[in-house]
Amino acid sequence: MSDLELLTKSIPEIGRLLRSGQLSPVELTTLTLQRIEELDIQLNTFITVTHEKALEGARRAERELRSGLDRGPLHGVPVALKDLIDTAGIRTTCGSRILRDHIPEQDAPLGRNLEAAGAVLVGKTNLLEFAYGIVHPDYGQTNNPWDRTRTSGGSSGGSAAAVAAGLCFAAVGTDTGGSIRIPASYCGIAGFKPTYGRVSLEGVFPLSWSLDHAGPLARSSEDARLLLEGMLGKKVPAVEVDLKGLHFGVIQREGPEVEPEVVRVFDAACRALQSAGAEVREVEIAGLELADAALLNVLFPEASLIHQRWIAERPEDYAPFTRTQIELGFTIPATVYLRAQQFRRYLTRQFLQALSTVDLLISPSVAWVAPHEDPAVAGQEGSAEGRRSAPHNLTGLPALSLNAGFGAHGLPVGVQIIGKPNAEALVLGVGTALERLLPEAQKVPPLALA
Amino acid sequence: MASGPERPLTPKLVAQMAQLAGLSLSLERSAELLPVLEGLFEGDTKIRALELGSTPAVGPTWGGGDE
Repeated sequence: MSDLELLTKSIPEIGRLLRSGQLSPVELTTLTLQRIEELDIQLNTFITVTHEKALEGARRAERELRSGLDRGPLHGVPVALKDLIDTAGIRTTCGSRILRDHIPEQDAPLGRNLEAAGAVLVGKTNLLEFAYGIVHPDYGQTNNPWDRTRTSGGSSGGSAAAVAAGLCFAAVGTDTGGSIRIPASYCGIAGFKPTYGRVSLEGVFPLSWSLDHAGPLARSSEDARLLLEGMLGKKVPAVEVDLKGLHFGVIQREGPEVEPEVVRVFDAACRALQSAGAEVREVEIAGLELADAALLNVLFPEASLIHQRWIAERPEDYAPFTRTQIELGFTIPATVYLRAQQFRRYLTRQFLQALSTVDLLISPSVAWVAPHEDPAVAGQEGSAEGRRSAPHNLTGLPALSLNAGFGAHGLPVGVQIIGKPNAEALVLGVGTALERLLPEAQKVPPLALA
Repeated sequence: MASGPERPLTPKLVAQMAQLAGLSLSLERSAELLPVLEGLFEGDTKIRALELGSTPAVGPTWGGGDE
């Protein structure tokens, strides 16, 4: 078996090798660190690679597994964290110049839980500055493993590209308007935004308190489930879903911004569901066209409050358009913000009404395949990019992007499954079932095969 | 530069709004914000037309109901 085959196995498969003694956690981590060394210069996925901590964690996992202590599916498995998640003694930059030397004293609880589950932290991944939609020139863009001239998406692009390229088995991201699901879609992997509040955000640098979520990115929905369990420190049941008789409601299939190849892949995924016995039909969500405006009218003021001291004292340290977006938040009246908050409750009622007639909703994850650069949040393109992901930040409903196929340039196309509040297990189970129906979509990028 | 009859926006007004919220902005930077801000206010006007009345603005978006 080649190193590449090892490094792109599923978490259950790699776990079997670790437990059978065919592979040790130290060997696996060493191979992973070597691959990071080889590929990161092309991809720019990591801001900090934690060599020593990784090898120390791998040695501990090796001792424990040999002595019969088994911490579960993530024991000895290399993972990564987006670099806005606090790690004790390891710098946490948020992709910014402002926090370039920031070293937290404590781990975020989700990181502590992963360590307790035996996961091996190999590094902190690159992101858009403060997760706010813009690359900071000090760090640069994370390139897409499927085409290095394109972006891996944002803001959790480093996590997505690292997973897709086999530089770790899973990674944690955060999602305020699509920042897990957009890069997952661009990189051809699974990215899951759980229900709002499900994962603790303590020790995770905020972008917008009422919209922020943390969640897993992985090469399959099942691996995402396992990482989510590790983040939570408790079970997320593996649901074996029979698609026969399940009802899916299609939303946001069309729109002027949607590329034809995205519709083609999306329709093929819907046909696959139908062939497995599911019912698929269009549903309407009243007011959905206002979600773009509502998102920004919530996001901008919340983000600006978080940055109020730094934007006054050192505005030049932000990337130019991050600065503009932060300034914008100071000009939005409280009534505009609160109306947008009211709209979120209205929109959620519309979604729950639709979900009383179908089991799940399904849409394209993004209107297009990976572009060459990330569009700014505050702009037509930025709104169009997040049009299919951001509504679920407004409502807080769980939403999963999984790879459903490839477009004209051989670039991945994601499909999004949305469930009722706290339906994590069902959404991920449906993701697994759909991935089984689309085996040709579950492959690693050519970069990883080089 | 105006956003329409309902909420006319000028760089000076934008700078004053930012100042009231605690941030000093030059007129030049305020002018750069105008096009985006106009779009945000247009969106708000459409949301206002929904007449959401006493719909809550805080708390769980789905009222705390489970799966």
